[in-house]
Amino acid sequence: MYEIKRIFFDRKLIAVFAAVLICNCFVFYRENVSEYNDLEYYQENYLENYGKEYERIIGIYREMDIEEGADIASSKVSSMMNDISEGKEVDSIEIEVYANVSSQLSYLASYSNKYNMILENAEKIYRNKGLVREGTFSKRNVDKTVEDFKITENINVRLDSERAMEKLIGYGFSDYLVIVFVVALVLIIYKERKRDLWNYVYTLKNGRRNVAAIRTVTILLGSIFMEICLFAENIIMCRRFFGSFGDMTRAAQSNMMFNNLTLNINMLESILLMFLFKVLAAAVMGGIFWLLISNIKVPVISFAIFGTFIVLQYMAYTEIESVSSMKNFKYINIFSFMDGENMLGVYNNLNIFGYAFGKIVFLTILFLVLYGVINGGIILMGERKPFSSRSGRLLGKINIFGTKLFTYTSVMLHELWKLIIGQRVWIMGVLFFIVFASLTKSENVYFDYKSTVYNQYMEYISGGITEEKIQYLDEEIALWQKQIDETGRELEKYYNGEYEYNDSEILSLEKKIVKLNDGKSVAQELRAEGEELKQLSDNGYNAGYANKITYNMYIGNEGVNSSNLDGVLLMAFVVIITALIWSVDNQSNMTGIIRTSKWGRGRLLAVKTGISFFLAFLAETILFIMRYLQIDNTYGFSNMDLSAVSLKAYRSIEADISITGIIIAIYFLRLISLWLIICIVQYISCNSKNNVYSLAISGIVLILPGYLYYGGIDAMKYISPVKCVSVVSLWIGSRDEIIKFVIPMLVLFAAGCAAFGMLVKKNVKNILPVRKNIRILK
Amino acid sequence: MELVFEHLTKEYGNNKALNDFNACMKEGIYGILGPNGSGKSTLMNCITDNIKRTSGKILFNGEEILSMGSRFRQCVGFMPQQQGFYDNFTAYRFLFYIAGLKGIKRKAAKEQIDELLEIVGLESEKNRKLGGYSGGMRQRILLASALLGNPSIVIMDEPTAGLDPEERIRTRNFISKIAQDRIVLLATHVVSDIECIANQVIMLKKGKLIGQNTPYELMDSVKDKIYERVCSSGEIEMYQKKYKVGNIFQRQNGMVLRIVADEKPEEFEPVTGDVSLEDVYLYYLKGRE
Repeated sequence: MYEIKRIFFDRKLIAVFAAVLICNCFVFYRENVSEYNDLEYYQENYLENYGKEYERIIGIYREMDIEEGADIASSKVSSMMNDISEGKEVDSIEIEVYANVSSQLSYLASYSNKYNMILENAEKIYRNKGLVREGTFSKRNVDKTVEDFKITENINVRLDSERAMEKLIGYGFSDYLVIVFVVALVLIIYKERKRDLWNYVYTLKNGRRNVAAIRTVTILLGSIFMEICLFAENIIMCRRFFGSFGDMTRAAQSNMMFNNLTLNINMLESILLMFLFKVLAAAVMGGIFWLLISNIKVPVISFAIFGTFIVLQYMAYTEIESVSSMKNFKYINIFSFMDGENMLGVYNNLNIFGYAFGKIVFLTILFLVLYGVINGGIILMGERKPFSSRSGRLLGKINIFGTKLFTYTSVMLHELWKLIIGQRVWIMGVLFFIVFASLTKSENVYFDYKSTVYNQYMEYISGGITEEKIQYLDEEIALWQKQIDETGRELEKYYNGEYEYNDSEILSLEKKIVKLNDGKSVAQELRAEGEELKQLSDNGYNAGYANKITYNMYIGNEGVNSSNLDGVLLMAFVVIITALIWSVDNQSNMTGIIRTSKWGRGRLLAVKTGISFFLAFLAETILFIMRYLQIDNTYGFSNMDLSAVSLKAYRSIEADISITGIIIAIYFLRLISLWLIICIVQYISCNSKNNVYSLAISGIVLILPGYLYYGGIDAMKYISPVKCVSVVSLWIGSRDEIIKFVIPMLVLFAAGCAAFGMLVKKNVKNILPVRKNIRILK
Repeated sequence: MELVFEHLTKEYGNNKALNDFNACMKEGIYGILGPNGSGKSTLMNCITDNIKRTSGKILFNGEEILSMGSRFRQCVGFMPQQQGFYDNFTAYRFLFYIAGLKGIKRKAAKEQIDELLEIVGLESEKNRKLGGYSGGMRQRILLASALLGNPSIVIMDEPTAGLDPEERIRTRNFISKIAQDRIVLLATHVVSDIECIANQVIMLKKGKLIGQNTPYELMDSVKDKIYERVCSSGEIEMYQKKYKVGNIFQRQNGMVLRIVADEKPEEFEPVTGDVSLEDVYLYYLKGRE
């Protein structure tokens, strides 16, 4: 019991646990919710309104006979579509909800026929005797499929709210986080080895097999606990954003994602089953990792083997196609077992030496056996005398070589070593770079008609404003108008009965007119903008046409979402590296020696600040450039030398600053924000007795407000420094945005300056150092 | 070279950790004796300026150390009590790091580090990570780091803690050797260390200076206050309540109890010629309110 308590109350494990929950919440929000905040495509409070409407309509149809409801819903959708084509006002949310409910009802209505369809398919295959010879896997597979789906005849599916359930089933990121937690848990158990405590434990009465058995229980309990927490968090998030889970006693097949499930279970049982799969997989992984790390003297080798195993498993699961001859590697796989959607939603029989085995049963038995074997192995090996871990020979040699090579006395280089190698910040750096690279890869973007026309115009007219361009736009407007008139006349002939009535032709002409009007409005907007730009040009500005789509993505409103994400990541990186910079000295009780040294105060403060700022600068610059390249590859930058007033958002600027100037100003504004954040985190770190404390407090003070703000707590906008780091625009003109930016900036500025002042006072002047350190020194 | 303390006081709330401390130190070894909480570490931290004093002055060669700032710190070598390290650093890298903090140039640092590693007997272990060092090895590395830069004032808090007898003697001799032209402050609970090498003993109790003298003088001052007798285990318990009891020795004729007292107890016999600093400690610092 004490062993379990020691492990679960380990501060590092608690920190990992908190980080996993926060990360899960963030990714869930980002994957499932954040897109609905884009007001360009969705109404305000879209999710909430959609949810209410969905619940209302589900309430109406829930009591009806499914087939009758499906017919009514389908005709309702058709009538709404007609209303749209006739130009009538239709609530976009209502039609979306009806379309969704209608497809749900059609699925439910067709489900009763599922077994017959399976039978029909099977008969078709049987008829082709070349395909299904007796004694082959194909024949056994078809037989088993027919047999398995027989159960669906007795399943009564029902209509209910399915949105939350769908999100819960489809969200798989938690599975990776459980692996992270289990690995951390095993490492905490392993700490005993590192500290050479095994000598003591091994000699105790219950210090061998009993301790080994307790460790297997600990890994299982850890997996269960983490899964419960993640499931609870996911359920809360799904409930909060996607409404009710409905009646949990309805058949699991009521949800379209489980249409191929061949178990007679209800929704609650399906959740429990998914939970058990995940727990078992996590416990098996934890067991494998513990077996490796407790039996291989060099931990790096264990990491390498385990890492390779995980990567291979993941690649097999994601890269192997379901028709491949190697598909068994895809399905007999830890990630396949953890994926609830795959386990319960996708029907497969596995080909094991020519025999067809149901995936669910086979994998469950396999993993139970694996679990038993691994844990049995762990318990048996408990008798084996443990050993102290050591660095690998290669690492040892590199370390000695490094020591010989770096016989320098530069405090800066030693501090860098201490942080980057000693505190393993390089891992953070690599992760940061990988995440950025994946976030900023170029992608194909879908342009709506207006944007396409706009881009085409910009290819010709972008750059300085000329009479020729204005004239060209006038001609274009006339051309659009001419086409609109011609199409209108064509349409008129249908209306007047001159042409034979043709529904699709009329619809196509109507759509064409809408598009032509869109094109004309783009040309008109550009023409009107041309006038303004001409006037600005006459006033001495280097004004001209600049592509608003590109610049809005980089330094305008369109880029807010990606910029916020950049801001959160950048802040997380900066907070983590800076939080360790002083606390590592406090944790090692080195403060006394350092502060007594000649350069152990003011100069050290300068060095540490320089290092954190340099790393932050590096991260920010990499991010800024990567984002620039992504937007350049996707949209293309041009005319960056034009005055910023060429962009509507910056028209109120009086000074003649180029667009490049604005981009640089934003870049520096972000850097200043980072500098202020660094000051605050340094102050926290300087006053923290250890790394975990420093990381936790810094995270709470600096990252949490931003996290809560993006999570929906609006009041946090005033104190969230993420807003300052993720600034994409100088917010000229928009009062709301100015307030959103200026207030947190002022708060950050005041806090940053105060923190820096206190740091200087503490380290440069001869003032009391950390009280805790004094206690330690005593 | 002299280090002068004038009315040095340090208060933590109402508690006076150091109370009007006055002393003058010149080249030599100063052993600081005192029970836990007597103000030894506070005194050291005041000298290293790791804590802010409440009042008083510390003058180094007539100049206030606070106004000297880094010039003073350049003259100080500090060896705190055994503690954590940067476990990922090798001993060699750690000493170069400290040399960097002490503002020593690379070439001079290399010469000094090699020499000090040889003195503390860790030359062959210099490329091992500190995380794998034993307690004694860590102490020796701390000692080497304190002596880097040839400081004029060396402050050592429990320098021999965790060392085996042979290492302790070696370290003691080494401290004795380096103290020729330095001020060495030595705070320790191992009274024998002070007895062997200290030129002066400073006795602190509840932040107050109880006395300062050479070990010989101090031992001389208690030589007629030490008594012994052979007694049973039951009697020991009784005498422990009555007197300041020092060591209990196992002898052939039974257990010998040693006490310090101003007046000779009837049942005890005076001890002649066998006085140690432990007796001084007991007499001056134990139970005297």
